[in-house]
Amino acid sequence: MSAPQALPKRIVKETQMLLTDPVPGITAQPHDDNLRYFDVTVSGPAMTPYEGGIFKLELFLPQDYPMEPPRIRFLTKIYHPNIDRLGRICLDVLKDHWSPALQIRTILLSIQALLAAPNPDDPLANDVAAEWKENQPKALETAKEWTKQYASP
Amino acid sequence: MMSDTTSEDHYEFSDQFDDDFDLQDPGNFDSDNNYFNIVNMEHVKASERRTVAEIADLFSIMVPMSTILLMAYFWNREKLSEEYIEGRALAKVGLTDADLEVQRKSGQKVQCSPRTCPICCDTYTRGFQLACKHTACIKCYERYLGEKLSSGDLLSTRCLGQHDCRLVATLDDFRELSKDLESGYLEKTAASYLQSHSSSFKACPGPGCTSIIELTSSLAMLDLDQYMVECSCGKRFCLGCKNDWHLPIKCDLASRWMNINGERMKNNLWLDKNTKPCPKCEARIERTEGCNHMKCRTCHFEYCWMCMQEWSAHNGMFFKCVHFQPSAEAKHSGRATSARLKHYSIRFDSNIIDSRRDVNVRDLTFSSQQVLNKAVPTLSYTRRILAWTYVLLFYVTGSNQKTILETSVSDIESHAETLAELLAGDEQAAAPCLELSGYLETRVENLITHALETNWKLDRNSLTYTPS
Repeated sequence: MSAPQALPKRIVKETQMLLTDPVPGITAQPHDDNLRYFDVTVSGPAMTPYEGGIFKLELFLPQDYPMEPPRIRFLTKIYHPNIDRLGRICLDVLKDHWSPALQIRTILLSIQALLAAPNPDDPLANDVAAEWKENQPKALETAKEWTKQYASP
Repeated sequence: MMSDTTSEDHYEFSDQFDDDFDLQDPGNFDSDNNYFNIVNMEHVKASERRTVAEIADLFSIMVPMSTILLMAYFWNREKLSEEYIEGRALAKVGLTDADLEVQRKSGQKVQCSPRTCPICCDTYTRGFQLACKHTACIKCYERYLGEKLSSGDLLSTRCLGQHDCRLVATLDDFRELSKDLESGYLEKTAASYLQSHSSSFKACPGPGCTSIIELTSSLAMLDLDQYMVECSCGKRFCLGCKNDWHLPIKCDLASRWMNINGERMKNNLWLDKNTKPCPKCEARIERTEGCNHMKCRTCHFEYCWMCMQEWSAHNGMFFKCVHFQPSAEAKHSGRATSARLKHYSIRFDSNIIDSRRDVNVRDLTFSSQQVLNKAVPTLSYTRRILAWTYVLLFYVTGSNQKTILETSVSDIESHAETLAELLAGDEQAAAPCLELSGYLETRVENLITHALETNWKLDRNSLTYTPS
């Protein structure tokens, strides 16, 4: 294997910003042995069924970052129409709406916003989305239960 | 252009004929025709430019913006016009009316005092900005737009200077940056135009050939299955499927046959395993990761990867992907079909091989030019028709029609054999040769008409058969 490449300035800078000037409710910590791999936590936004939960995610910056979007996945189980049981996220800015002008910070904020505003019309978890649409009070109740069961700090 | 590299592959028929060798195709192949013109990419680009100019004129927008909108609508002028009037078209490319005004100007290169690029975080003095004037270093812009070009995604070439700026880099901006980016952009838009007009433009599949067959409206209306064309490069292919021609059977059966019997199987293996065609435009799509919500980069059709149905159908009551069917390529009573396949493919192969060998007869001693020019091509043509008729016989179930077809085949085959012997013999029997080829032409023409006009009942086992 070739020697590890120097970390691009952009990643160094973003990492510094994340550590010195963190966004409220979001933490992102790079692994010591792989500075492109981050442990992320996002706290559930207030007034949502995710309130009080701390959700763990993993984030990886591919070789072509920022030309390519970061890869992000929920590690904590979560009941949400746009997040499937493997933790994959259906979010436009992680796919064709990605722009190199976006950052780890902005993406994590978008994910937090997604928790506050689920979009059952563009579901990734089909069964969850169906329930969300057909019986919203029950769906919200389940989301609350899951938050308590899996995302309690 | 003729290629020798494929001459070993006996399914690549067209390369085995010489330029001066005229097919005696009864009516379906005709180079002096009203059906198609052989044009080049410049012609397609001119047609694209006219479309773009019309839309730009209609809505008083700039030409580069017209191009982007047309691409977003897969060059469907009617739909674009309709949604533009309803005020929905701009949103489709993430823009507002105000953005449109700003986008009237093109971007520019700027020289500035050293500052930090928001993308690479290096210091730069040569920057680039779209009309919004948000700047990033020129290297990042070149790389970003270069990568967008190679991925063919020209609809989300966003401003790099500011993350919440919606402006899109258009042809004008590509042009400002470099000649290469500009010409790359033009190639991509032309390719997009060509692909969206696949019913009237057929790019020649000949190796290295850049010609395009433009169908006139009269042919675009017809069933293309039965039309063979010859490109100026010498490549002869079916207008329906762009494979080598396969009279007297239709494209779908021919392609099934190629899949189980031909070389194509090897070529297609990777594609079949790793990709699925877009349900709308059939562009091959490989999903590397992500959710089931797919958006075709070519035609922008949004669909579900599981069931290949339109994505919007998953709204409302259809959240569960009920359409999902595990690819049930049922392997029916394998053994019997396998034996039948063997029976017919031996006959297919031997006719194809003979059709090639017969052409070489003329290198021999035959002196009458007339015989060479008529009998040899007829014989070769007959063999190919026979080969593909065997494919038809493999797929159809027993019926009177099938019996009639089998009788014709055996009669034509024995006469073709006689002709081949005469041609190879020492006797130089010109008159019988010509007479026989006249007979074969008529018989073959009737066989093609019969094969094409009969409403065949297809054999289910053969249709679904895949050799293990």
